[in-house]
Amino acid sequence: MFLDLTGSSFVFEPLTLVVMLAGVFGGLVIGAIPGLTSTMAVALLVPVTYGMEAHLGLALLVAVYMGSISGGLVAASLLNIPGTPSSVATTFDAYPMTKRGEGGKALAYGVIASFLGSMLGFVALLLLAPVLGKFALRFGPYEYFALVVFTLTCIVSISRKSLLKGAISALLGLFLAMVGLSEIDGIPRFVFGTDWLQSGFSVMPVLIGMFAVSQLLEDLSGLGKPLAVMKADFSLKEFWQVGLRFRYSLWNLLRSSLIGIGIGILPGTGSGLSNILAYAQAKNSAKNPDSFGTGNPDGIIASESSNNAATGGALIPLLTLGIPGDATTLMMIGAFMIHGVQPGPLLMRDHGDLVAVIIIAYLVSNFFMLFLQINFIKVMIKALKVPQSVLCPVIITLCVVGSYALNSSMTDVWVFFGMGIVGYGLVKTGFPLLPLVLGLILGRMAESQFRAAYSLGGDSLAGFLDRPIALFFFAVAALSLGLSLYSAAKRRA
Amino acid sequence: MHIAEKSDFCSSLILLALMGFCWNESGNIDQGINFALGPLFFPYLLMGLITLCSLILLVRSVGRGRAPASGGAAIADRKTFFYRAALLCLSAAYILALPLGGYAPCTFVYLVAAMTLLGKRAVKSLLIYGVIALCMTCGVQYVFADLLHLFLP
Repeated sequence: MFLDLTGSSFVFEPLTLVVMLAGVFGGLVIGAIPGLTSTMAVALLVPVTYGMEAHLGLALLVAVYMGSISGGLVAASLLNIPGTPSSVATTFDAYPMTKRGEGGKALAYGVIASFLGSMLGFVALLLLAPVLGKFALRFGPYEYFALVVFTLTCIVSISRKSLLKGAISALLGLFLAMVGLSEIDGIPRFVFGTDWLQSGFSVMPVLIGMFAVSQLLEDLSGLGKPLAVMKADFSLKEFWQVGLRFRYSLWNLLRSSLIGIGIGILPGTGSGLSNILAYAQAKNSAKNPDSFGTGNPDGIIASESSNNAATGGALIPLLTLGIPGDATTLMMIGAFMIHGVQPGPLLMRDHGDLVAVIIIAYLVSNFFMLFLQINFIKVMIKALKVPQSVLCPVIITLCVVGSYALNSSMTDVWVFFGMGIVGYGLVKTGFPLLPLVLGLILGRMAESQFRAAYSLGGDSLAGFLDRPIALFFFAVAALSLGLSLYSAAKRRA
Repeated sequence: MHIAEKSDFCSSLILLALMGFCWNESGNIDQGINFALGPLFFPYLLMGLITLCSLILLVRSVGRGRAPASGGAAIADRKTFFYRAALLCLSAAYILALPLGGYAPCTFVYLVAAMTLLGKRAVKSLLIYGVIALCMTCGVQYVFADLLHLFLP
């Protein structure tokens, strides 16, 4: 059972290929710069896609997503600073290799592992998306509501610092979604007598503000500190030598990629968690675990293959259920929305061509990524030296222009700015942002589906008991929350 | 008794105040025809849950025994705080000025001012900031307005 990919020929048009190549390159550079994450890269580009055809815009976003995840490798190897959260575990072995004069090798291991991990992610996307897509067509209001509860519970459960704060964050996001005209009755709620709140909060300014501004303000703590970039001689000959050595690490590569795909599919987790888990697994099953952390190539392979495979995994729930696999795919939901496409189970049926474009763009971007990393890695190394004092104002300007461009509204710019400050405050007080923005996106769906289910059941919630899929989602949500509560209590004891 | 987690204590109080404010505002919301639980069922449910969670956070933030002595903020922290506050003020001024001064002049001035604030203040650096600001302003204008036909502030 494969997807119909006939609509994907659009990807091979010259303009699309050029835009994607530029997108992958931009993503690689952004990913290489510490502090600039893939989420920020996609957030900055979503408003730009507004002026493009939906196909072109989404292909560009996929290209940037792929590039920025892989770009983190450069900073991890040469600075000992993960360029993105998805390359945290890469630093453990790549930097020690660089320190002993094998920086070129460390980068080569990372580049090849990224490529192969993404290829396995692509296979998973191709095989699992249609299965899950068909299954999702059976969803009604009961299942949708249960899916939202399951998604939010999953994200709250992985709030590492505090489950309670994760829950408050998710509830606040859901509450923010209640602002504006209610979906079913069309009654204005919590607009405080203003006109600009009637349509609720625009998703993109909130997303851009929350993720970009809070990250920029956080990064200002490193202002003025010079970065010690290590040297790395990256040659094509060494690249091929490293490539041949991969035959000894096939099992590690496969296991790490599968971990990445699995974690990517789970709502809200993504590559940030997968690289750590894959690294831990590779270390635990190695013959010589003590060599990990001292420059073992298997550590780089585990981390880089899993974080890239997770990108494929994260696209699966996005394309089939309309649920983001990570913060970056959450931004893509915003992109779908500004093009008038509602992500969800009907996406594959109604916009199969868009889904095909995304999947093939993923594959093509992966080859672009390999080509660019082999040939232009020196440019990415130079990007590490761009100071925060230049980056920060430039990014804020892009955010302001992007927020305005969506609706030509200064209100959206103020929403972006205000939400940026709120987001920074939340991060500083330990509240995770992901549950909040996900709550904001899913809030209206949760309410309307819950009310529809109540109405369908004859003003009763008993209908949920007759729905095995909804009950399954509720059970898994309860189990996930229970396990997290148990482990939190165990940590405290 | 003392406040063990000041940030949690303050956040919970802010959340409780926000919920109180929203509760008050909900009195102005028209209930309309009460179709399938009504437009206020879900907001009330969420407000109740947020209030409950905030109260738990408030109780947790209060510790027993004497408060530990708090050290003053490090000079580096204060410096970063200054930069953050100054950048935010500058950005707010930029957003305020945009509708009045237009995109190009405001953006150019903002970029130069913000880079000067955060970076080195030598003549050579100022020249570099000027060139970057000019390229950035023109580049964004070209991509958004000319290429993608999107409006700029």
